Amino acid sequence: MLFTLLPLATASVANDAAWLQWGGPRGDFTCESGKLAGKWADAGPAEVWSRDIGEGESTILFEDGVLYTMCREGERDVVIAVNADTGATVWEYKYDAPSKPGMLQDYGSGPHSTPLLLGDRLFTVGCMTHFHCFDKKTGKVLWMKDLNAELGVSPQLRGYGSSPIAYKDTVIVNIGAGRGAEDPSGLGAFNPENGEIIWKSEKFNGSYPTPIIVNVDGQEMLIDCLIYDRFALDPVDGKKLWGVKVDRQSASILASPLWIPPDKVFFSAGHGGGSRLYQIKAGEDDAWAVEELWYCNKLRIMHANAIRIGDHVYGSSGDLGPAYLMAVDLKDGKIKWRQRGFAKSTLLLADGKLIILDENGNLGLATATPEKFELHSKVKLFEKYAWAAPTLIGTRLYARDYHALKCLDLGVEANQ
Amino acid sequence: MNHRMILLAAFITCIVPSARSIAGDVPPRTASGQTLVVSEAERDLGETYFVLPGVGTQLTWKSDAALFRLDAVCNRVVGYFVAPFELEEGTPPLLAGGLRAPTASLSTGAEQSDAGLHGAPVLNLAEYPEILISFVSAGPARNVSKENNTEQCEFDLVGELTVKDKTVRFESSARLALLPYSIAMSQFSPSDLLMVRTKFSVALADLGISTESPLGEGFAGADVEIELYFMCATLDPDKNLDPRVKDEHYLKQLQFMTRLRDFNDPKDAYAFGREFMEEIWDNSQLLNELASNVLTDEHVKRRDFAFAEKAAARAVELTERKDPTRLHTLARLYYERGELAKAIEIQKEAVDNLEGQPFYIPPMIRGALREYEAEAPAARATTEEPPEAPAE
Repeated sequence: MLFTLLPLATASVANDAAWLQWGGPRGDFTCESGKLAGKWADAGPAEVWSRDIGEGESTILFEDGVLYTMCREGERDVVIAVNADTGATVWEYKYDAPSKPGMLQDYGSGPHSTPLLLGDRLFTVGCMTHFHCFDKKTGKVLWMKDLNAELGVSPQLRGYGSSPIAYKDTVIVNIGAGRGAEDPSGLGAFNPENGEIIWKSEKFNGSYPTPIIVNVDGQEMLIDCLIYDRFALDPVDGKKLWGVKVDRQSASILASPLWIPPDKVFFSAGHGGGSRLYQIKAGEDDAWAVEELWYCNKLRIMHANAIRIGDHVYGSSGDLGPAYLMAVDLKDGKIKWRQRGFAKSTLLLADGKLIILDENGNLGLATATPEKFELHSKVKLFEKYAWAAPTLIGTRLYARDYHALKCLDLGVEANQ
Repeated sequence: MNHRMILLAAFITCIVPSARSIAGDVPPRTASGQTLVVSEAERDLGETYFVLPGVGTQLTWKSDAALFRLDAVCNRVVGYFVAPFELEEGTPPLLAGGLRAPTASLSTGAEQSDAGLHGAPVLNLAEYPEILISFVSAGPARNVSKENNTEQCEFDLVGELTVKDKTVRFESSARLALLPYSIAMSQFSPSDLLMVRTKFSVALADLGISTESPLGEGFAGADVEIELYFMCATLDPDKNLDPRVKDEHYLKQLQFMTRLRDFNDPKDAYAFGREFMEEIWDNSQLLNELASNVLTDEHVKRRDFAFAEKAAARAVELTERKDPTRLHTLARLYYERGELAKAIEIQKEAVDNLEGQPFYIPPMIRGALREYEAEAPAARATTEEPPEAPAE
């Protein structure tokens, strides 16, 4: 039996010295790193540089000394490449992306999506579904598709949110359509050379999570969760391998799926949705089936992420009310502990430590075990809203909110 | 500044004071006035649920004496309860709590009865602007049920009621329900909910209510039945969910309404509101909310139309008559002031500017226009001259 999480990219080499797509080298917000300091000074970890950046929750990619992310300036999307050592702009590309009528703009409209680095190219999907392919070195646009105009892809109520991911020679994108689309779909695979569509799946509603690609007993699966659907597609042709429906309460804003090797997948939803663990099984006649092992309505991860360490999942549970960091036993969905002190947070695991960034801009360093949460340091880094999960390369942490992009050194030497 | 104003100033404008109230050990209000300060130690006990101000009957005061029956309700209670994360049979379902009810908001619905109830011999509003209820202890949970995602139990509650300077202990049978965040209940709060209800009786004499009550001899000497029913939510009333509004401005909006609506002190409230209006003079959204609150909150007893007009007109000016929500508020001002034709004219202007608005705005704007237009014939009928009687 072969159970693995697939390498993420083909043309680019996926390694821990690069951060090529949503979730980092392993797609699960864990990474190898240099030796991290066990504690920071009261003022926080050593700051290497800080610069202004526009609104958005697009996380930060890294390759060959350059950072890539997106932000928003008025009614324009901005794709930006930044020198990772200095914070200086390497290139930026701005394009008009006016909001659609009826969208909710109180939190801005993104960009919520994280770009994808694949080979010598950078792929982005902006707030209003403009799908761009850039030469990553120069920022030259190689091709662009308006997914809303061409495929009826919905920009969602608050702006497009899912991130493109790589699979072999394709770029897989959420192309969930809005109401009234002529040929509604769910996910699609695109040719990175020219943007031509290779396959389209059956219809699923558009939503914010980013899919993952895993291997279950030799079968590659593209797993996603979109509104009512929890499902897996064959990433080769987009055919559905298995799928289950959830009730309306769980059809909310969701975190991306979390793979629990060798054969389980964890889903969590905000707004009262709760968390579910499914086991994937080979069914009859080459079919696949899933069994819900447990449901826990107390752990609700909204648009953040969860981290698996051994037999437990750690996540920041919170809707609009209070948030708790929680440890949940994968065996039965029981909560092992709750920890106050951080607002709704994104998490990163490196060097055995949790790096926590909450929406109010507090950065924390902690150790989490099934028995306890031990906070080592906490510092106010940003104002509201710091919703983008940070990126760690070596000992350097790249983090942002709606106003600033910062590089911090979390290493032992820099924090003595 | 009279005694009442000093008291109001002390607990409304405080910036999270740490001292507890001596009477009943009920924490002070937060700066907004819409909830109480919950200590870190209490928050660590479990999940904190905040009373949803304005939701449900909350505090009902009933006295049913031989010659006089009095039913008064206050649904502007603020406070909190702390409950354990897991509701278990045999363990206390509540761990901490505290409540404050503005005396001015305890109302019978009849002006004369309220004057008697709030007068010096009874509740003495002038000296004691709040009624306090403190949590003392909860007995073990009984008959715990966990069905349909709702957990319920019964338990015995011990608390203290402070009216004026008298504190009496009560022991009562209570019920509690925990409802996780659900779409069905999110109209009340987009968070987990807790409901608590109980009922107990207190002798009026123990509350220092004079036998010389202006409400008559039949009133004095009777017991008062206090019924408490609270819907509470994990979402803190002070948490600003609108990123377009600064936190300090959000809290001042709440503070203004606490003074105006909950404590029914228009002089103090509008003085505060005028200063606040200057602060937000270039912010159309906040000005619009300020005017809208004055015009539409059903519990505001004194609507200052000049105040509301100044804020609403400025909000319309700042948005160059293009924002339908601003025009909607200005139209409401004319409607409330009885200028129906002008209200319809402005509301039509709002309808003409609906393009690009979020999905929930157009129904609200069009609905108001329908409402005004429906009243227009009746309004014309009352203002037109009656037809001449036909000649015989």
